[in-house]
Amino acid sequence: MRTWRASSTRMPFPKESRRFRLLVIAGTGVLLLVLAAVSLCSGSASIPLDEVVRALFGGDQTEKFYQIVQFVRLPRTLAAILAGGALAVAGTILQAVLGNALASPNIIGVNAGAGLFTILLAAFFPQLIWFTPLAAFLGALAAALLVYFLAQKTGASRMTILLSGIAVSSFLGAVTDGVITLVPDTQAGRFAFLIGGFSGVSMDSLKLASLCILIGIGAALLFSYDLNVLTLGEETASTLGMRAGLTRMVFLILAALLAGSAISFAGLLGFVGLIVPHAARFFVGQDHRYLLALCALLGGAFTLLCDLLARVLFAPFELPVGIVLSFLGAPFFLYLLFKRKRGRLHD
Amino acid sequence: MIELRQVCAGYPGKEILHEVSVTFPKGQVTGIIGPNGCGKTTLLKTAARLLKPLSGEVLLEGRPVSGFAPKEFARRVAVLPQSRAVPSITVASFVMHGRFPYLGFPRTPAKADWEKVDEALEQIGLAAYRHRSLSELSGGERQKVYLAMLLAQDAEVLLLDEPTTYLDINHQLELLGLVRKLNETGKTVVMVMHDLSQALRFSHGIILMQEGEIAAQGPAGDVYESGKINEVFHVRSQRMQSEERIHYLFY
Repeated sequence: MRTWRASSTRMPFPKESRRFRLLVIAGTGVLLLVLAAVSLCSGSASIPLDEVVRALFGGDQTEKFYQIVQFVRLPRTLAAILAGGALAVAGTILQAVLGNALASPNIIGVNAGAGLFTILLAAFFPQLIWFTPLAAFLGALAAALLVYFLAQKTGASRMTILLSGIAVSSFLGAVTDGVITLVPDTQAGRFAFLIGGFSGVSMDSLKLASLCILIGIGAALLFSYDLNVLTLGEETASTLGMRAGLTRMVFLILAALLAGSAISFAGLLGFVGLIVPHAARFFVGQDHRYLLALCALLGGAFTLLCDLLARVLFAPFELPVGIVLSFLGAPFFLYLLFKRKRGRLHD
Repeated sequence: MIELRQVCAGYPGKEILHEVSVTFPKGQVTGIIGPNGCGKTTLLKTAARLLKPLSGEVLLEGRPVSGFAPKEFARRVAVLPQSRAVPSITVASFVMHGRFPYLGFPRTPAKADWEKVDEALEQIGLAAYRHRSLSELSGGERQKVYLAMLLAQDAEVLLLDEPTTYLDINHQLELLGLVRKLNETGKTVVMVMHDLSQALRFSHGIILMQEGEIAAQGPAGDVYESGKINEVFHVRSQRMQSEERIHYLFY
């Protein structure tokens, strides 16, 4: 009987080695912690790190620093980390499930679906505002399923999925604008919602959404190997004994849960779900057992960095983080399109 | 042994196979040939349970294939599909996908699974590529890695849809030689093929298809002798005997 000699074999492709990938994930985790510390310390008033630590773990509740950290910066920092992680993981899942490297929650209409349902809730059932995460999830799911079935009916090519998503996104966006125009009460705060940002986030508004995000990311990590098999194509996955259709649907629901939960408190943040999976793939390849974990951390770190930039670039004025993300995301999307045109985008 | 009895199959509104009855004998290499669009891939997909027959039945070892659980079927029948994704993962990780039918939750491969992967890579001659990225390999090497994945699946029956597509002649012959070696270890092999000479050379039995029906089936030499291949493809042919083997020339 031959023995497993993986450990004794030289690794000519270190980027694909388990140790390298774990190192990248751990390094990103450290980066996220550093950025979180900077985010808690920075703002219109700088707070020393030791004061931040004191405010986080007790301290005098009447103190100014305590109130700034606990009621403003901590919710904002957590919101950026959770939303970024959730959207990046949702983007990775959508790219794998739809077999399209250009898929991401904002491009294929998932964000627009979540946005429409939250606006509808605010317009017609304002007393049920606590159910915003649920409405966002249902909207995201409806849009994802609509794009999926439209693409299935018309051939499911990469371009079809993209075009279906753009059509669904435009349609849902138009309905959203219509509702905002016809029900002016929803207008307050909707501008910020449509652009996306974390300035008004409170710990209360994060509770349910963060629970959904943690469950969603946990489930995605747990089933990450199945996502690897699914990326071989539905036929190959079926011949390997997977119930491919069912698995694909479960992952679509997970992506919708993640994107919808993030959008419920962060608004329509664009491009995180597109940029981060590609950057993460550059470091750890396409093995989703590592890719999803890295995306969760890198998505959080990237969004937090963009939020920091949004706060400091034009201080004392503040940009919504959605604007910074779109500034970075739109050129990146074009870059991917050109790269695809040249035939170098194989995923 | 896989058997199709009076099978009609195809897609909504378009029947491609018309009451086809064929048997893929155990321990043999069967080549499926026929002009473009005659239903070769549909026949293979129906046997592989990827397409549900519109009527008739497909049996594996006498049992209807629909009665097998997906993983149970995958442990018996491995399939090389026509379109093959090339993810950017290591060769070993890719071949490990072949162990999916054996992995419980949470899909953590055991030492025995890694041993199967190593054995498959060794058998296919790619042991040194274990840690290479699949996307860095040539077309011929990728095809062999796919075959290694099928081997890791440890199934008795291999269904291969155009295994030599996009390969140069050297790699085609190497791959078909490998397939024959696998057959010598007891595997039943069914291949959809375009190259008639290679199909006759590397298969024990031939199934010749025409417009969704079986035009001829039987031992490769007998099907050639019947003249049906020339008739179906509208070609002429010549059989030549060299010192080593019989060669078939179609023109």
